[in-house]
Amino acid sequence: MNPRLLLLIPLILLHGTAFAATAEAEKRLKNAVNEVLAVADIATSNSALIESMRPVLQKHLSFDAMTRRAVGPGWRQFTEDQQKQATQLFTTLIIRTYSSKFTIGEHPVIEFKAALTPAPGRVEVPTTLLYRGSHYNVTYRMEEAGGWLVSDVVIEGVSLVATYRTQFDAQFKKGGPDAVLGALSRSVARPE
Amino acid sequence: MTVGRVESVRLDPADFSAIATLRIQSALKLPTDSMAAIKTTGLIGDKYVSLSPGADEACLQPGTRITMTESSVDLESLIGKMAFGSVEKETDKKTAP
Repeated sequence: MNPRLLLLIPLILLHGTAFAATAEAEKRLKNAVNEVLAVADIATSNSALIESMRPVLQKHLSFDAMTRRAVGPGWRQFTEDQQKQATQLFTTLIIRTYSSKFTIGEHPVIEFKAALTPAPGRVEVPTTLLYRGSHYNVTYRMEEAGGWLVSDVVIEGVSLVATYRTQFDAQFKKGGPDAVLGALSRSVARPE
Repeated sequence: MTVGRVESVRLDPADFSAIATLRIQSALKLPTDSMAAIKTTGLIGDKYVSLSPGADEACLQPGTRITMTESSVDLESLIGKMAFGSVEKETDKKTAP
């Protein structure tokens, strides 16, 4: 067999695998978005929306990875219990913040663009969101962890994880894990 | 503080993204989930690459890519959207279901 052809076969196989992964991640994201919109469409109040949104977001978002990355280097100094507590609080905070962005009765229009594969096991799906008359560029970062999960959301170039990392890092430098947990607890306890 | 320099910037012809090559202090061990963002010193100052260390145990090796990045936020565009959003609104209302 032509040696060039032998070199080409693994490349074609690799490309095919990457394409399949991208397609799978895109499919998973579209399912997630459809489920979120279905829940938002039937919600009658913001508090009901938060409760019905929780299982959907917990199914499609990797809150463990998001919390770990949002805390940043200080994460390794958290005990296992503190990590669990931080993940629970951050999950609640994100679900509440995300749900509060919906206006009852308004339905967003989402256009999916060509996905990118920045690294093996990672896919980025850029989208354009049209909501209440305004366009927003939203990129979903997805990771393969026994299934494709959203690990970060980038809105108009601003990453959710990076935004919280800046805040948590400042808290961590002030008072370690307790300061981060305190800030998270206060945010979650604050009235919606 | 300054921990390195941008050595070069090139365009990836496949997806038109910019790829910056950084030379950073060898003693600096950055976790693999570190993030790089283009920031501005003040409102109209120079741009720089801000590195934000992550939580992973493994560290980035020379030559590997930081893929979790943030582009420079286009303040003019954001302000424009807030100030002149009504132009998009009128057009979009007709196309929204």
